[in-house]
Amino acid sequence: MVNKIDMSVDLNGLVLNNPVTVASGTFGFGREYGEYIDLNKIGAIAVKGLTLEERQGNPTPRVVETPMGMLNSVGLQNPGVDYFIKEELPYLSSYDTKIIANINGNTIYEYCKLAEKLSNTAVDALELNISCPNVKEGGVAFGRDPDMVYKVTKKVKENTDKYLIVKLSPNVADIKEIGASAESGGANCLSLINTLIGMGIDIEKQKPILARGIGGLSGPAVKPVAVRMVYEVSKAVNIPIIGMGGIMNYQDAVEFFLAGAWTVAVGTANFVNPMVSIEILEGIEEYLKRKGYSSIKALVGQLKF
Amino acid sequence: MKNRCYCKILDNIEIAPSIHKIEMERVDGLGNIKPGQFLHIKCSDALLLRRPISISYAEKDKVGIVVRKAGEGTVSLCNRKKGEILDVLGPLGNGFTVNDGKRVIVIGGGIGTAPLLELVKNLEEKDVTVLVGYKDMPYLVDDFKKYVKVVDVATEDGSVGYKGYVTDLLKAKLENDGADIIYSCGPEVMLKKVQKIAKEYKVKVQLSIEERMACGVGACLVCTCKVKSEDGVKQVRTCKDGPVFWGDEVMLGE
Ligand SMILES: Cc1cc2nc3c(=O)[nH]c(=O)nc-3n(C[C@H](O)[C@H](O)[C@H](O)COP(=O)(O)OP(=O)(O)OC[C@H]3O[C@@H](n4cnc5c(N)ncnc54)[C@H](O)[C@@H]3O)c2cc1C
Ligand SMILES: Cc1cc2nc3c(=O)[nH]c(=O)nc-3n(C[C@H](O)[C@H](O)[C@H](O)COP(=O)(O)O)c2cc1C
Ligand code: FES
Repeated sequence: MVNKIDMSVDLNGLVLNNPVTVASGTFGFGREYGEYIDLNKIGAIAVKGLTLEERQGNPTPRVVETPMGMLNSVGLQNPGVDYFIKEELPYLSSYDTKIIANINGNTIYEYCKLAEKLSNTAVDALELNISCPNVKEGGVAFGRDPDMVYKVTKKVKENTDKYLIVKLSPNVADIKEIGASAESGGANCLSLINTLIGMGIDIEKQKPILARGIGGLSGPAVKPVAVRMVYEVSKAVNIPIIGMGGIMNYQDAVEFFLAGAWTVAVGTANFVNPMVSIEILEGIEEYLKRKGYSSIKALVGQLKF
Repeated sequence: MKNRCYCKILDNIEIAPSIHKIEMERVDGLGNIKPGQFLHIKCSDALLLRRPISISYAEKDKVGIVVRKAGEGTVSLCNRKKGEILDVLGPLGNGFTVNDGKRVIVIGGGIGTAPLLELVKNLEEKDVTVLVGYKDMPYLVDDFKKYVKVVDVATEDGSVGYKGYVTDLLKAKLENDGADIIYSCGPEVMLKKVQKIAKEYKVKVQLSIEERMACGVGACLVCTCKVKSEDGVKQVRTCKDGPVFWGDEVMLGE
């Protein structure tokens, strides 16, 4: 039996106290869940997707429950990057957790502007969201084309010294190829998956339930897809991976580590149980003890075939 | 710190067709409760998301909710038995502002009458009129009568009380006696009428509105609604900034 487990993770330059983080868009700017858990205890917080200007997002209804999942079409509602830096970042910086700013542009220029604006702030890393299914321009359109992924990653990297994470969309034919493009563009790390595009229909009204028609599917329903993609991408690249998609408990998280994720992010599960990230962290620690590992690093990619 | 609470069901009775009153233990974690606040309840293990349900009344050792069977979640909630444990987040939301004005009208429609009970309990020493409207069979009327003398009922089919919409009663009451403030909860069409009438008679009004939710605590932004503010129209969160809004600010169904 090992007693003290090393839970810290060095994502080749970004060091987290522990491998449990929360996914962008599911944790606001931390304040709401700060009422339920000690934010110092999670490895990192990825904040709600930021854009240059304030965004109102899509009309409501913006959510549909599906079998073991949910569809959302928030559409990147956010107060804009300047407001974030001024009003939200100081609060987050008061905690001993890494801050990941999730950025969203309509053009390469916008991604670069966002990166520039965040470069001299207390943000620890940028997460390039090239995979949001809920906006017309940019978003997933970028994430589907390997050339574009390379270009946008490279350009952003030229405009910032910050650690750069590229977040991949599952809505592609070959995710390995996209991951490799991001790596050659200069990404320090990859995160996956974002939501899968889905639709829900009200059969009485014979109309889509979401005002916008389509939305992003998340929650336990997407986990098998996410685990497979993390596994595939981890074989195709040499940079670390943050795995996410349907993680509800420590067992789910362990699947991701075995598949090759260095760190995990909890998303939709927060909505069900605000304390879930801490419970997952404790569960992972116990699992490592039980299995005789002395560190979380030792578990990564240990899948036996 | 706030916590997820586990509350034992003390009682569950059908008070009208498809309407259940469920009483649960008031565990310490629930803390203070303001009228108009809601609980976010895990209705069944088979469903992922919680469902928002208003607190209908709160006593020292118990909390009551009134639930209408609307779909899978509320049906399984209504099927939960005495002695079972409910997984609850709350109290959530902002609740009604109760210190404004002496002459008060409280107007509810259908299941929207539920949260108004705790409100009425908190309006002692004021001159309160309760107006409640239902499609056919009324419920909670006797509960309101415990706290206020005047409880006027309207039903759409005329089976009990005034035949027609409860908003007709509101108009008549304002025409005859006026009011300092109106509080309302009910279906959107009704709230729209209440909003319009309140404006016509220049009476302040607070409306409790509904929007589909996921987190219930203000983190996911799926539940937004529009309010007018000094710098234009703003999207705010129904769960955290509401569900109660001032009638001259909130934009319904726009
Ligand atoms: C602040 C607030 C307080 C509420 N208080 C009460 C109450 O005291 N008693 C009561 O019976 N009902 C109340 N409701 C409505 C109740 O939340 C919905 O009827 C319920 O969520 C429907 O879920 P379902 O699974 O039964 O139905 P389904 O139609 O199967 O639900 C599918 C999805 O739609 C959402 N949804 C459907 N209708 C509504 C609605 N009207 N409002 C919000 N979300 C909806 C559900 O949450 C779920 O995500 C309240 C709603 C809000 C927002
Ligand atoms: C309501 C909601 C909003 C989201 N907003 C963003 C966002 O702004 N930026 C982003 O990169 N991902 C966003 N996501 C995707 C999540 O970060 C995550 O990748 C996805 O939900 C899968 O994880 P989960 O199944 O654990 O939720 C959002 C997801 C949800 C459910
Ligand atoms: S339901 Fe998540 S912000 Fe309101």
